[in-house]
Amino acid sequence: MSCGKDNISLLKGKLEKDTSLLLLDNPLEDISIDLDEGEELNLTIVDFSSCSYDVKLIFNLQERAILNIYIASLCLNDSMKILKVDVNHKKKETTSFVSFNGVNLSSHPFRFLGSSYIEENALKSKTRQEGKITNLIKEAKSEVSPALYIKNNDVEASHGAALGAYNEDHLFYLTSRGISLSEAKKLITYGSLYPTILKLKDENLINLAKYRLEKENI
Amino acid sequence: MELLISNLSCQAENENILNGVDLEVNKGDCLALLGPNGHGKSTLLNVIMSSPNYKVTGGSITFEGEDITSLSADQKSKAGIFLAFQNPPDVPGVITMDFFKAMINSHREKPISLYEFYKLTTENYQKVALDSSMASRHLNESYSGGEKKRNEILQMLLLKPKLALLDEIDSGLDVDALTIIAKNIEELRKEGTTFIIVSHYDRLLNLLNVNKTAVMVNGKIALTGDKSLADRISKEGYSFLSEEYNIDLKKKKEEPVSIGVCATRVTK
Repeated sequence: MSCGKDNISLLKGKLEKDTSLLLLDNPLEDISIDLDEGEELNLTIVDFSSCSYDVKLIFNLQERAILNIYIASLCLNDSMKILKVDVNHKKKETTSFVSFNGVNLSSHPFRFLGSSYIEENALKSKTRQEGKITNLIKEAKSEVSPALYIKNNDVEASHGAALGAYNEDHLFYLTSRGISLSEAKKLITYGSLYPTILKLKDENLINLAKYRLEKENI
Repeated sequence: MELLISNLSCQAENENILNGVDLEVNKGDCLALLGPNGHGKSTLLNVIMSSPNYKVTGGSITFEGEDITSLSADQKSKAGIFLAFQNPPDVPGVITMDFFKAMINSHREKPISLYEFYKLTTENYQKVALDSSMASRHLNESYSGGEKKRNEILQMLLLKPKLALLDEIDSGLDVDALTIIAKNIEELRKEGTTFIIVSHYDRLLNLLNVNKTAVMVNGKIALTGDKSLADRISKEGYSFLSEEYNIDLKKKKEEPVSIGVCATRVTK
C-alpha cells in the first residue's frame, strides 16, 4: 500500500496495488503508467488543491491487467483544471474502471476528459468511464466527457456523465424533511466526494481531506 | 380546521395541472384522496409541500390558521407537514444516518445526542421491520421498492408530523409490509396526526379508519364524501361519477414524455 499527501512523485515510480494520493498544495502532473500482465492497480486521487493544471494520465494495460481509478476533485476560486485520463487496453482480458467526481466553484474551465481505447486484439476486455461535476456557481464552465474508442466487438464497454447544478428532486426531498437549502446542498456536495475520500488508504489522509473540505465551507 | 385549500391552481411547464382545488381537512381526519391516473392527486400533495416542479398560479393553502402558500419545503416541514414520496429519489453519496440526523436536528433547538439518536432510530427501524444497518447505506440507493416505502414511513415516525401526506405509500408492497405500514399510520393517528392518503387500492384504506373521501378529476375536487364513497369506487370504479354526477372523466391533456440522454455534458 502506498500513500502520499502531495507526494506527486509517488506516481512516477513503481506503484503498489493500492495507491492513494491526496493533493492539497500541489498540482497533478503528467504521468504514464504501464500495468504488466496480470497486474492490478487501485488508484485513489483526492485533489483539493487550488492549483491550475492541464495534465494527462496515461495507463497502458497488458494481458489481464486490472485498473480501478477513483478521483475526487475540487476546482476552487481562480483555478483551471483540465484532466485527461487515457486508458489503453493493449491486450486481451483487461479491465478498467474510471470514476471522476468533481465540484466546481471556479469561473475558469474544469474538465474531465476520460478515454478508454480498446485495441483490436484486446478481446474480452471490460471498461467503464464515468464522470460527474456539480457546478456550485452560475459562471462555472465544466465539461465531462467519458469517451470509448473500441476496435473489437467482443468487449464490455460503458460510460456515463452527469453535469449541472444540484438535482432539484434531491434538494426537494431533503428540504421536505426540514433540512435548510444550504444544509441540503452541503450534504449532497460532501456526499458526492466522501465515497472517494473514504477510499484513501490511510486514516490520516482521510482526516486531512475532510478537514480541507470543512475549511473550504462549501 | 387543520388544512384549508382554497381555489388552488398550479402549472408545470406552462401547463395547468390544478384548476381551483377546494379542500378542507380537520384535525385527526384520515382522508382518502382518490381519482383516475393523471388527474392531479400527486401534484396536489407536492404543491402542498412546495415542490419546485410546480408554480402556484392562484389560491391559497392555510394550515392551522396560517397562510403557508409561499413557505418553502423546509419551513413547511418545520410547521409539521410531512410528504411520503411516491418515488423517493436515490441520493447517492448521502449516508442515510447523516440525513436522519440533519432531519431530526432541523426540528430541534439542540442537536440530538448520539445515544438518543441511536435509540430513536433503532426503535423505529424495528417498527417498520427494516434492518437498522441500512442507516449506513446511501439514501434510498439500491433499496427495493418496498424498502423505500418503509423508509418513508420510518422518517414519518422519526418526525411525528401534524399532517402526513402519503402518496401511494402502498404501491409495490406485499401483504405483510402493508399491514406494518397501516399499523404505524394508525398509531400516529392516535397521537393526533392528520392524514391525506393517495391510493389506487382499497387494501390499505380497508386497514385504516378512513373517515373522508375526496375524488380529484381534472385538477379539481369533483366530489367529497365519507368512507362509503371510497368503498363504492373500489367496487365500481369511477364511471358512476359521469353517469350520476355528470363529472367529465376525460383527461384534458396528455402528459409530456421525457426522452433519453447521452454521455458528454458541457456547461454553456
